[in-house]
Amino acid sequence: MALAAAASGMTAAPAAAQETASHGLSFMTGFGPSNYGVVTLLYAVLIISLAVIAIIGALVLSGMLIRRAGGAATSLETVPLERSSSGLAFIYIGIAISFVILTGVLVWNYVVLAEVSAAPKDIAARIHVIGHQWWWEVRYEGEPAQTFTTADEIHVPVGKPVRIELTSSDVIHSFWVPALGGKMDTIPGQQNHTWLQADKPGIYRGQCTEFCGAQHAHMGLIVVADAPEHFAAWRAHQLEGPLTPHAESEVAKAAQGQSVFMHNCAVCHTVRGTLANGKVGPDLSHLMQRRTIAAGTLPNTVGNLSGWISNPQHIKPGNLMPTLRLSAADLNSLRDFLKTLQ
Amino acid sequence: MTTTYEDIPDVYQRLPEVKSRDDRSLREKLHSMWETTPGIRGWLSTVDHKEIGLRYLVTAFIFLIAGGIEALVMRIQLAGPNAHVLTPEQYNQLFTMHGSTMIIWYAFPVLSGFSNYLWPLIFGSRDMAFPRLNAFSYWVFAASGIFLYTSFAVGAAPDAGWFNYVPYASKPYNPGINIDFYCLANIFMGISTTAGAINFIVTTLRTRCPGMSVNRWPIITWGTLSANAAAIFAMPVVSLAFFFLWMDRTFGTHFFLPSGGNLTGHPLLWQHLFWMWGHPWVYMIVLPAQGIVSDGLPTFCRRPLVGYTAVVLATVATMILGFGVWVHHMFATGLPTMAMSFFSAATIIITIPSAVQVFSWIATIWTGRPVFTTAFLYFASFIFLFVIGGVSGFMTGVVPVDWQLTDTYFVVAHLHYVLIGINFFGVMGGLYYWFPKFTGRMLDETIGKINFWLTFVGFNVGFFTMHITGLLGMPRRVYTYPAGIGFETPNLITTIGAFILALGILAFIVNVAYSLRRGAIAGNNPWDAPTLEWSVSSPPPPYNFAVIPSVASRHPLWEARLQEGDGESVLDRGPILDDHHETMGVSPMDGEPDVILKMPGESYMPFVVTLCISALFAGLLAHIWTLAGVGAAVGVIGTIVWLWPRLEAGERMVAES
Amino acid sequence: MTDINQDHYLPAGAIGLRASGWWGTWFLLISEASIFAYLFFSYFYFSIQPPANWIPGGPPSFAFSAPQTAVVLIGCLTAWFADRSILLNRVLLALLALLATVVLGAGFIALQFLDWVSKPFTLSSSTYSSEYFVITGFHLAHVVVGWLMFVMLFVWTALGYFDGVRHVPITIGKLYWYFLAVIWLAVFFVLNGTPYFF
Repeated sequence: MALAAAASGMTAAPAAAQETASHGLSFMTGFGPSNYGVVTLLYAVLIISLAVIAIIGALVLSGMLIRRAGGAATSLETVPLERSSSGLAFIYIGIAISFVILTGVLVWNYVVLAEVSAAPKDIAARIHVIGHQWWWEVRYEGEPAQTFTTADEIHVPVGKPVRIELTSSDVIHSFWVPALGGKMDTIPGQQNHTWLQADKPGIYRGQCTEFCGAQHAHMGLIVVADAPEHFAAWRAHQLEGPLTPHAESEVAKAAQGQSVFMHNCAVCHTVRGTLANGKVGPDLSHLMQRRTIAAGTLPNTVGNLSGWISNPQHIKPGNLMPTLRLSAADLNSLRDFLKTLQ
Repeated sequence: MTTTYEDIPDVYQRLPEVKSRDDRSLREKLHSMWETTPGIRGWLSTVDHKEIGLRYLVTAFIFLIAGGIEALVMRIQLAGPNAHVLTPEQYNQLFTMHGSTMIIWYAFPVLSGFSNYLWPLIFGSRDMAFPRLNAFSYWVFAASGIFLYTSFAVGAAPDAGWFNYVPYASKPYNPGINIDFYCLANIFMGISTTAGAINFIVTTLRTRCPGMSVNRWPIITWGTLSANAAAIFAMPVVSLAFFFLWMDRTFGTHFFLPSGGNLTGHPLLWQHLFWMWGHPWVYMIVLPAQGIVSDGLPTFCRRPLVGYTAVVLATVATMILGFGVWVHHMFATGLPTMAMSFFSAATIIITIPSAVQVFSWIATIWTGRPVFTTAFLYFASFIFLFVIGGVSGFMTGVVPVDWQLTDTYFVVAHLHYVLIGINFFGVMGGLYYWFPKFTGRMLDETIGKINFWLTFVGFNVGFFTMHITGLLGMPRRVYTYPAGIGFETPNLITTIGAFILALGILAFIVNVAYSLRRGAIAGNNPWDAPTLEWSVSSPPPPYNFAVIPSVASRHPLWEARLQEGDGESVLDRGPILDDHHETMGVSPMDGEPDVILKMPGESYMPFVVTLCISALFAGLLAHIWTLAGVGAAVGVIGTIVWLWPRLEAGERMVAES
Repeated sequence: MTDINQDHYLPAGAIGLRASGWWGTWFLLISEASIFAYLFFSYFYFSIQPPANWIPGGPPSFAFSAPQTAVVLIGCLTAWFADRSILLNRVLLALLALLATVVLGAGFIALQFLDWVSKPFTLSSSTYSSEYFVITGFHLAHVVVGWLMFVMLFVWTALGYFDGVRHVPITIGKLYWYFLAVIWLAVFFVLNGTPYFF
């Protein structure tokens, strides 16, 4: 079924995972406990800020208009100097009110900070995310037989926390899935960590948010939240090798494609279940399962994939994948092979 | 009864001669003594603080325009999704140069320009404490800016952001000469800032007129004094950061690159060193502007500033606290929660002294009688924009909220509200206020209103929208963005706003060009303002004051009407100090006369030494060590010539007669 | 109090410590001292992080740094003496003291180079070596400036420029040397001393 779906050029999941609306990069609504408290606090400080702006604006404008002594043409000598009251009351009252509000927010700040920083118990998965220029390496940790690597797409079970350990292989990046939590930098030589939990199934966008070079703008990722049983199935499937096609003709094509792959791609990319073991670029096991390619830059369709392979520099100028100059025949075979990476 | 100093031989002391300031022959003598030699000789060797001040202002404005053009090109690229106006590398160079140019080569020098021009006038003095150092700090500012912009000419402008985080700015990831330009240009500019800081501090403490005790310093000087005192402590740490990085890149030292085992450098060290300077720096580029408003707004409200003492304390407190908040730029780097809590508290508390100033300005309007000149409009709108910038900063000081807001366009909105809203609007108000003093002509009020409204509307349309762009999740420092997630409309609005703002600045330039020729003649005091600079002609004579005034209050020109002060300021008679370039030196706190300072006149050395330092930096950049060595050596010789004790300046012994 | 008394004499020129240069130098030295404070910050930033034992070959030897300490402290004495002498108008003594300071300065520079050459590591060997050479290098650069300063003070004194009243350059030189000594003591403590504590 999966192969048929792939042959028709559509991506497919191993099981019918719920794909609800994709969430953009806004963080004004929280979808996980890392975020609920933060969203409330954010709205609170936003409202306080807007109120302060309105009040101060009103004070300045009304003061100007009520006390106005003349326009630009007025000669200032004709407006006598004021020797009146000191006006210090404005300062006292203003500071008193400000101080109360600021202290309140400061305390609330600490409460939410403690809440968000607290490491949850009962982690459903431990995921090691390593930032690269300009893609995300994602390793699911666990017993040796259970660990696997993928790239640019993280799956999590709905309603359960996962721990994300963060580092970088080159420069500083920052891991950010706005709907689910705050940012955490990935720093070479340092291990940071954060945690995520998605309470609703769906696809959540992420983005690198520390300037990391030419393609910082195109270093996204997605988090897919599935029901726990779907997540378990996905995880199990990730450990398997590529599909073996059934039809005879397909087998030959796939073998030919695999050969092209080994010659051109295996130096940098890994596919579990084959001899391709390159570590420079993203792991491509089960590539066709992914919803996006090039770190969230393009939807994962056969057309986009072909375009990427023929000319990666056109889509992400400056990225580290060379332009391969494959013949049309080779590109076709390669495509056939990639379609087996379900 | 004459009093003399018994421990000082007679030949080294004298009774200052007192005359009326209208004495014609005195004025002529002083004029020929103090005026700048005409032509190229004078241009290269002048130490007239007024000329230097104007150079600072004009040069800073040139950098403003350069940075503005960089921004406009960026905004064209960002007006729509997936645009191809710029390549990623071009965009990265533009946003880096935009940041560095605006924050370092425009924002502080423009304020130094005001201070340079005004301080001796405000203090009732003839010159700054170190006239040649003053000229030198200008030449170095200009040379370092040229040095930086040479990078564009060779196609290798810095491209790692004005904040230049490592490892991306380190050699393995950025092998070209771009970052070397960045490191060296910044160290070069740091020399100017430090030299200027020493000059402003000693001037403020020493070269004032008698009677100007510490509680009578015009309020504007407190902002600048705080900023320059901060420079003394802040410049070294960032120069060290740039130096470490340049060493890493050039000689393979291990300050920042993590290479495992015993070689472990640490990328976060860069961030600490950079922001330990960076945060105080942003207060340094706004506090003097706040001082401009504190000084100018009251003139247009026809009353002294409300709460002088409170505002002084608030200014100094802001600067000191400003050294304790730098980690708020690093909340997402994985530091311990305890550390972040401390810095978060400091970041939130620092709004209190700022609020003191805001309420002081509001109180001044409410208890005064405002007159709506263009300068006043800039000052009043400044208060509003300051608060917008302040609250968005407060929001990002809340750590868990910052984890969402940081590195999005929300922060870009915040920083532009504080930089443009405080620094730029303050500068614009200051220019409308003091242009008559600098040039003798008034800026046109009609063009001024057009200028103001275009600037105000364009700025708010462009940058208020950015808050929304940030809340929608758009990250910073991206050369493009995808369609379909809501970024298109706000970005287009921001681009339009930016161009309207640019038109506003153009209107200002038109106003200056027009008013220089056709502006109404300003008298000494067109605004009926209170401080000493308004007691001399517009523009002032080269010697500033024919006789040294003495003051008895904060507002010498208003004190009779306000009935404030201790006795009476005396402006029409005083010591003539005409033996050489002379001015009065006083005790720092009480303003008691202490010494007659003999100032140096024109000298080529500041210019020559700047050329030598330029050669040094060029040699370091290009790894031509001989050039660097020669530059350094000749620079040393130039410095020795500069410091050579001069008889007429009272630096050498005189045989007793 | 604030009116200019017509009968009050004022010193004119660079009299004693009234000169602007004295004030300016203080602020310059505060700024320069800050450089070292930040250098030490960066040193400790590394020293407190893993791995421990980040100093190749163990704590640095006192073979040269101890004599350097002695030299810089003796230089304080000679600089002080030079200033004292000129204050008392004893020009010849001042010249001798200035010359002695010049010699001591040269000695310090030589010792520093000998120390550098004796190290088993180079500038780019490790983080520690980078810190070591940059910290001592910054201090050395300041000593070179001080040495040049005292050479010029010697020349100017020999030309008869200074006396008991106008001598502030020598006082500034003395202050600068004290600065060098204080900074050296801090450098010495951080580089040579702290490895024994942690």
